[in-house]
Amino acid sequence: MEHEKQGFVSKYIFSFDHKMIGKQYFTLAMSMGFIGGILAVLIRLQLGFPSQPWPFLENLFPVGMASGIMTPEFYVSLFTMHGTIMVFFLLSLLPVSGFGNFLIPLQIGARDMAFPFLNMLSFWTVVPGAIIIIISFFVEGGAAASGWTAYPPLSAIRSAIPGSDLGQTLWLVGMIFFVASFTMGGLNFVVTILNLRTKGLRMMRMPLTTWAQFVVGILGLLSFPALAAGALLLTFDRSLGTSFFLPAGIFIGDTLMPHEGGTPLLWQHLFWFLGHPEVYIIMLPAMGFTSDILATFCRRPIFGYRSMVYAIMAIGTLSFLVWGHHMFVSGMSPFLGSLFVVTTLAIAIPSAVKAFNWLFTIARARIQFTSASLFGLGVVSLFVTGGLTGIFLGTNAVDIQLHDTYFVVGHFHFIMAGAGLFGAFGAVYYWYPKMFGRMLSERLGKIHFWITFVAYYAVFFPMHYLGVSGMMRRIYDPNVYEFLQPLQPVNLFITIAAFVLFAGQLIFIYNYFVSMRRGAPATANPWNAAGLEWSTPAYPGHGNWEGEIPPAHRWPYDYSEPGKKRDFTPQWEA
Amino acid sequence: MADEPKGSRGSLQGIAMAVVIWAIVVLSSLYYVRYGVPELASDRGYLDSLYYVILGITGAAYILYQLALGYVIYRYRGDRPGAESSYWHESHKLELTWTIGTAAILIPIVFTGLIYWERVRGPAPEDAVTVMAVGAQFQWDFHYPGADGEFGRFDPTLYAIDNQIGLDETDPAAADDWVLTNQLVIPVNRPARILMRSKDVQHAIFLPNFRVKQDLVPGMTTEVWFTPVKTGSYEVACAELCGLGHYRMRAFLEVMEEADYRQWLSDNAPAAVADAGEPAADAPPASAE
Amino acid sequence: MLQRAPRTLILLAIPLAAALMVGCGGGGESDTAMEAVPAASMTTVDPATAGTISGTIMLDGEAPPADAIQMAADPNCARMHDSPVMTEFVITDMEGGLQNAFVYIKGGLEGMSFPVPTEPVVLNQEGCVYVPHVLGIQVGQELNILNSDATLHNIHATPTANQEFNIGQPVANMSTTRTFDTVEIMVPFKCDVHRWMNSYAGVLDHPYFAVSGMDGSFSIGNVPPGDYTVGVWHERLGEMEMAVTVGEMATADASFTYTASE
Repeated sequence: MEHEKQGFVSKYIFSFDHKMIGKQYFTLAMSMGFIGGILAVLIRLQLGFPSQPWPFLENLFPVGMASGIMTPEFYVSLFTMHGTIMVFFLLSLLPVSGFGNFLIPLQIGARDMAFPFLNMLSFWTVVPGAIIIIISFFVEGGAAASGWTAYPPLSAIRSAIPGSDLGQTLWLVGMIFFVASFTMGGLNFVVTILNLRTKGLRMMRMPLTTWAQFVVGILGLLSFPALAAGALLLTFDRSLGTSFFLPAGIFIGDTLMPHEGGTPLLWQHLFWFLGHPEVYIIMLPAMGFTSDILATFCRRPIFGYRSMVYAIMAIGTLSFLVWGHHMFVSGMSPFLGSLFVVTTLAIAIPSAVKAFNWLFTIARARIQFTSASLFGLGVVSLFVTGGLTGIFLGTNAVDIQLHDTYFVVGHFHFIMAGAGLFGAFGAVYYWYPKMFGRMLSERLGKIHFWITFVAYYAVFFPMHYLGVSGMMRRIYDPNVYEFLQPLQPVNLFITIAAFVLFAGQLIFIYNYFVSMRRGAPATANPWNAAGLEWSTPAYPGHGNWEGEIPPAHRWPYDYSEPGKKRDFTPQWEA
Repeated sequence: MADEPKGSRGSLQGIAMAVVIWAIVVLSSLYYVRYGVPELASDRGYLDSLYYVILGITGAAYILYQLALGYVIYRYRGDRPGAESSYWHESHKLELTWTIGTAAILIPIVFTGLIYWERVRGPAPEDAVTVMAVGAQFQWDFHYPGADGEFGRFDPTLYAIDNQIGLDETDPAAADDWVLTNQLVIPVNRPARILMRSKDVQHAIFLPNFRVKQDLVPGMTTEVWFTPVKTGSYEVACAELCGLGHYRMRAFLEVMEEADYRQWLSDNAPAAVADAGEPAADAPPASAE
Repeated sequence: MLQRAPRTLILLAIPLAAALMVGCGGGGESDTAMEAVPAASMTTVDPATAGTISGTIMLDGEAPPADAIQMAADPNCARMHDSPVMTEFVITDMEGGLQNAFVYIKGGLEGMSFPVPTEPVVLNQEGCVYVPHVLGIQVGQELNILNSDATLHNIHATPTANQEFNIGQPVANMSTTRTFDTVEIMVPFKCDVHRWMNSYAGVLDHPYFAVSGMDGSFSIGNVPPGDYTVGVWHERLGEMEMAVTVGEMATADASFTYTASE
């Protein structure tokens, strides 16, 4: 393939190259993640030091922190936007849109994604979504304030909370952009993986990362339209006076609303029909990265490849059948609740399979401790911790007490956010050489890992104590309740740990951007890895391979094969 | 190996990882037992038992898995003498064991949970004290049906500052109804049935000491029942985000001895106990005492 | 492949432009104080000729009895009161003088404009009650909303002509300043945390208004001589009006009597 010389715009901005698009997603996701992190710090500031004045913050948020004291409505906006930004714009964009685009063609031996133009379009569709989400902080009433789950009527009626005015409208518009982008991406993933695999790369020879992205593509295609439909109907309820989610008799701000005939439960069903697959959209790629990283640095094939693939498929399928476990006490039929218990706990089985397979991959290994492998090991630890607490919440009888408490917050920050984030970090450390042709600083990477790992446990494990003790989520000041007052030391501890956790991420951002120019030049295969992506040049150009695309002769996990001279046999070698 | 990533074989990282994981397991578990569920004041102790059973199982799994993870990281770190990794990567027997093993542990949990769920969510006993909780931003109004045991009709067009629940005074059933703001009083050892409706957005009633939580959904009447077994004053919280004052949507639940409850009824709502002492629908049948 | 790039620019411009439009739309509707009347066209009132409108607002009949507020709903409020706090819907004195009626010049000032006082009007939240219960304010004049209680109050204004606002004040001594940009009789205020709390503000573009005192009396001074319509508003008893002529240096009477319904 011959390429003309590209101008700046076509190379860095409106690029069709899947690698450049992937990197654009990285930049966007990391910027959004940074903002989401600042929001988390502000949330913790309030919970650690309730209603203390911080006069310097008034300059930044003249309304939300008037005279330096955080208002409750600003607090609600903060956790709403923290959730939205982190779930969608960091944890979905970075591992899925970012790494999916970057890695799929490299790992399956394709020159690019099946639809490069659609790929570029999907990136430039999500950018306005992100901008709108950020702008919403600065409009009258502030950003959306109905939680990332946007339950109506709170999200539907403008006078219900200040953020439900323009802020919520922008939230909905932003989400519609996001869904449009993500659906295009998912379509591209599925078509690319099904059609563009190189010679010899049977499905059962694909790396687990690609398997995960394949299932994620399908999940996104099937689940995100539910959110799009919900968001559209909610917009109608807000702007056109329809009543999809609003029953008769709602009385807010001294006004009886004219709606009738809808039910808020419909939104919950639509939202969680997306919401739960979304959790696995975040989780599955992280599981894939972890498997690839562990195999490489354990110098050992991934244990139970076949069962790993089946587990990914089982998790993907079951993820559509469990949404009701978010609604055990919502007023949904109790019988339906029982049904969802069975499907929910069924999902624990493939998850346990993955956890044991990882353990047995590490066992009998020869572990090389790089930043990437440390984060991979971190995923295993967080995944098990978060997975086990899910059993409490999936059992509806026990969920009654724990529902909507900090136990839930702790749980999903381990399983979804934690494993997802650690997986993404591991992936960045692992594939960075292929992204920029340079190495990240291992020293900084390890410091980053240790701070992140220890601080992560310090922040999120004590949240289970809070939850068991009864502390509700989404409350501005738990000290209002006498039974929660003894927990203030725990909240203070979490807040301090959260500051450390946030500071640790600055090391990563520094490492990421400085190493782009100053990092040691990378070789084509710096980790002696066996996957097809490492057969490309050190810094692959448009089209990925200079000559012919290499065929796949084997699976990507041939490490320490007995009788071979080297401890790995690349996928592209016969 | 000559071409291994620089610094990756240092024993420090592997040992540190193992030690840190072990330390986290020990510390997190030790601290866990210092924080218990709030003092139990209802008959739902069996939910606590199930919680502790799950805590025992998952706690053991957590500790064992993390200890094992720390161990394999320590044991198989790359710089150990004679380090070599194995190509062994499949064992149907092992994989089947942990698949079936996980299922075998989960199935009893699921079924116990479902049985308890049935018990919790089943219909309330006939002799229950019934109160309607009306949730609004950011206040609870507890609507007592009075001696006739029937709630007066409500009409959303009647919501007003001095008629928070929109009670229709023209309904004969409303004559003996009365409303308490942020205060719920119920007798001990008698099932309490709380019907609930919301005036505006979603709320959830959360009685931490009673293991009770149920959403209030506009347009629907939801319900929950439980039996308080301990007298005293307890806090009632809102557990579903309902607006800027969500964190202050707090009420108080007073559980009284039956005799004190009667006394309280006659002191506070004379109309409601015009025939005090006679077992009306609101009062328990003799057998309950 | 690459030749196609420019066309994509056009496609991209659409969502970006949409984003910008939404963004700018948001920024536009914030400042309300901007519409204060320019100083040049101010009406000057000659104190040598100005008259007064005064009178008493009476209630004929029995006022509905006030109820005790269930302050126990928030112990932070209950703690601040030794005796039960009563509702303030209809308050009269022994003679039937009606408190908290809002009296104002409703017509006759057309074409005149008056300076906006720089002094703010204070609405205090004290002991989980609004003080005052009824107030008057000019368009563009600052309303200083103060929380004197160590508990959350949210000041939720639900006007129809002005912009609604809803502000939480979680700790004692927080204050917020707002202005109104349109005449409105009346703007209701509520606290959603303590739903017994309510208050009303009459928003006018002139300074001729008063709230009746404990004995039902009121007095509006410095009125330029002329013919006016005087209106009265009460939260439970409704509105009335009458024609009044104010002579030079004279006091015109504008007493109203409401009739209590059974």
